[in-house]
Amino acid sequence: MRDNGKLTGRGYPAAPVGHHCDHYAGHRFPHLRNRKYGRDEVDVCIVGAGAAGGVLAYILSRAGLSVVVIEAGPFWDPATDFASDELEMTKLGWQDTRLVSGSDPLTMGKNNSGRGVGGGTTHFTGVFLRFHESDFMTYTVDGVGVDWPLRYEDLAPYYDWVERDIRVSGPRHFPWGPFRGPYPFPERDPLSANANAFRRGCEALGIRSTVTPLAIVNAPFDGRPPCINRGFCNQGCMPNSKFSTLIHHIPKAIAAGAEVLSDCMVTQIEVNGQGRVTGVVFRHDGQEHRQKARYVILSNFVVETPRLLLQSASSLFPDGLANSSGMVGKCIMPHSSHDMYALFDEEIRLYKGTPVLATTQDFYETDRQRGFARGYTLHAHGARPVEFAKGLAGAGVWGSELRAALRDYNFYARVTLVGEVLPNEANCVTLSDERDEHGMQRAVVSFSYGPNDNALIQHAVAKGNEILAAAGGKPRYVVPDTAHLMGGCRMGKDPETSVVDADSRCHDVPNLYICSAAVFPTSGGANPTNTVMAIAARTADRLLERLGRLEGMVTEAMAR
Amino acid sequence: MPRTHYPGFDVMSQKDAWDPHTQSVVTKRLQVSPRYEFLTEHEARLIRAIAGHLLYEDRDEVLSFVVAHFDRQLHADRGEAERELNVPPQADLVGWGLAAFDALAKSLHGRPFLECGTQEQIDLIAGLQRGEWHTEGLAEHGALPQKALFKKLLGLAVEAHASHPAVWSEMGYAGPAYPRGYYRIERGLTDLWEPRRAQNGAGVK
Ligand SMILES: Cc1cc2nc3c(=O)[nH]c(=O)nc-3n(C[C@H](O)[C@H](O)[C@H](O)COP(=O)(O)OP(=O)(O)OC[C@H]3O[C@@H](n4cnc5c(N)ncnc54)[C@H](O)[C@@H]3O)c2cc1C
Ligand code: SF4
Repeated sequence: MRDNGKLTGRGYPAAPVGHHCDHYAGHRFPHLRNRKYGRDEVDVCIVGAGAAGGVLAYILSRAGLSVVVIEAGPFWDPATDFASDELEMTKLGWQDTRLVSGSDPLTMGKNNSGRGVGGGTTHFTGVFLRFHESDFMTYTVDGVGVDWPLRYEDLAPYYDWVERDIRVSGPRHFPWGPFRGPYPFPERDPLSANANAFRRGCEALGIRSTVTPLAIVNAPFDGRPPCINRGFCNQGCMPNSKFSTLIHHIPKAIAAGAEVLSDCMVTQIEVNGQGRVTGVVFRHDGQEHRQKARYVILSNFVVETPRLLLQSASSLFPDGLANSSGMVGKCIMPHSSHDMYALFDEEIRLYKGTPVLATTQDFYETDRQRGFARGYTLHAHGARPVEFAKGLAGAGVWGSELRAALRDYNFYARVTLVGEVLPNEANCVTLSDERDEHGMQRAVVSFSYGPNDNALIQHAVAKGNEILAAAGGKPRYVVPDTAHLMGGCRMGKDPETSVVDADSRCHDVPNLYICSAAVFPTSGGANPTNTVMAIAARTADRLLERLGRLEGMVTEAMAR
Repeated sequence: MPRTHYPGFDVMSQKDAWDPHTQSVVTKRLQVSPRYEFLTEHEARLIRAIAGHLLYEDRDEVLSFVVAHFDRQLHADRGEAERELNVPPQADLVGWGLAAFDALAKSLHGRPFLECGTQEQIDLIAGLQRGEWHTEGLAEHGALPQKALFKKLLGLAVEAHASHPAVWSEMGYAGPAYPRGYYRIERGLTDLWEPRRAQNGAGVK
């Protein structure tokens, strides 16, 4: 194959979206000529303005550190960049090509990685759950996976802080895990017909269900109006009712002094002869730029962090930066996320309401009688036309059968799985010989389910179908899918088997941090972003402590 | 089979209630340019026929949008999110694959794809889905990744089709909802502007 792997040479990269790219308090520019910190060595440079990057930028700049955030994608304006349209909004996903392999090759893009300020939070569904105690010690409890270097109690105060900071809404009593509510904002009301069917089905079977905790406000907060149930959470919330770091943490970080660069892709981490990081190289509009920093935090997620570290190999770090363990890129995990569709006689209308409004975690903890370790969460989950049609097409349905299913769209209900996937070193991110337009080697993302994962999926699919049937539906389609990538730079106590320590600091490089879903040693069986943000808040706190800045905002807020 | 449970519903009648950006995004789908940036005329005709079968769709205006979507995606290639190892980039895969449709049709039936009968065309597509054709001798590039080609064609066709307002109307999807929102979301309730099932009970099987 020739250049860029192209056979014919037809097709070329599209021009980037035109946006401002340099943002700091009182200023924004469509170029990098008026930089706030352009020549300085800043305290902290954060790569990636997603869930973790946003929280870090907010806390660290509030604590008085000089902070530059560098984000590969645009600084979205919800009012003009977002639309109530699925096809148009695929741009919120990371569209650059990743090569995929393995026996269960992953769907990437909007399925699991965001791009642009806000990262995955601009298009996430807003489901906001905590991990359970057992998630942090699967090896000790169940003899599978690995233990985290943290325990639930270490994160508990940070979960509290995050949930309060963004006003998570949820039930007065949450039936599972160590945290039983109440949540800062009351639970959602009314529920959609799909959530209602789910809860009726659960009730009939004696399964406990609850209204889902959500990072969506149901009362005015911070100038943001309550949710209007339009159902486009995965396409970007236009009224700003759903939390994202784009509308919450990043603007507050900017107000507190941070500089945010968007449409700037970090391509290299620079290291000096002592093995310390000195800053990063990034590209904007085809030009190369540099940012010097005392500390660099990589918050650029599960695929791009390993890619950047492997790409930053040097004579001091021949196998890639921070990779003496060989674990950079290893043990990536999605959640298994199969969708179960059942046909009803009554209209369900999957497009209406916030997509996820009801949940059960009755199958979360290990039950050896089921024949597999660990467990899962089930959600009632809405779907718009494209997701519905593409899901069925992905399951091999086409032609007149697909058309008939579209006709009956309003009569389908759906349950979605969030299933734990065990870590496996064969599931990994590596580099290919093919290069992208920045000259960076493309990532190869390899994934196959293991036997435990498949047994769990089988159980969960049967359960989902039972719930739908108990509510009066006829189970019709199961669409295999995945969601929420995690891992690839896991945290651990032992430098030989992990990349970062419990504080997200690289074992090999003292002033390099990795803080995102990439540090998860195991996947848990619940949506991960609350845990990503709690880890980010804790990481910020620990870094401030290291720097002797104990007046850190998190610490302060928690004392109140 | 009845085409829809909601005869007479036209989601575009609601467009004034949508925000201007969404209105312009959706309205553009109804006025498709007949000129292509990437596809040749012949390729466009092939895609129209193939998509017609994949989607069980015969409306000109809907298929025109589907073909235009292929053209746009393959021309302004923003990346394809994921591509399996050893599968060529989508622009090449589709270009190569469309040529292979004709080559296959000729080897099976002695005529190009568009001159084959409906069932012949459908069977050829179904064979690709199962990866059952022998394609080694058909083109200079070696064996065609048939399943990957099928997936790519179906994926692009379906995402365009399910984005066309005429298809939304048929599905009874009440459409974009900003700034208006949905209010009566509970079981059995509908907002005033949503379609209701036809009374004579064009019900579900
Ligand atoms: C459709 C969908 C629905 C989801 N729903 C939920 C949900 O309901 N609940 C939940 O808990 N989780 C959900 N998630 C998962 C959630 O989005 C992620 O867990 C979360 O965003 C991960 O945060 P992060 O900080 O690790 O990475 P991200 O939020 O992905 O941020 C990474 C950022 O880094 C940037 N970046 C990458 N490489 C570079 C580079 N080289 N230079 C500069 N910038 C770079 C990216 O553009 C991106 O903005 C969902 C995800 C998807 C895709
Ligand atoms: S359902 Fe609510 S939170 Fe989700 S996009 Fe719509 S208004 Fe925003």
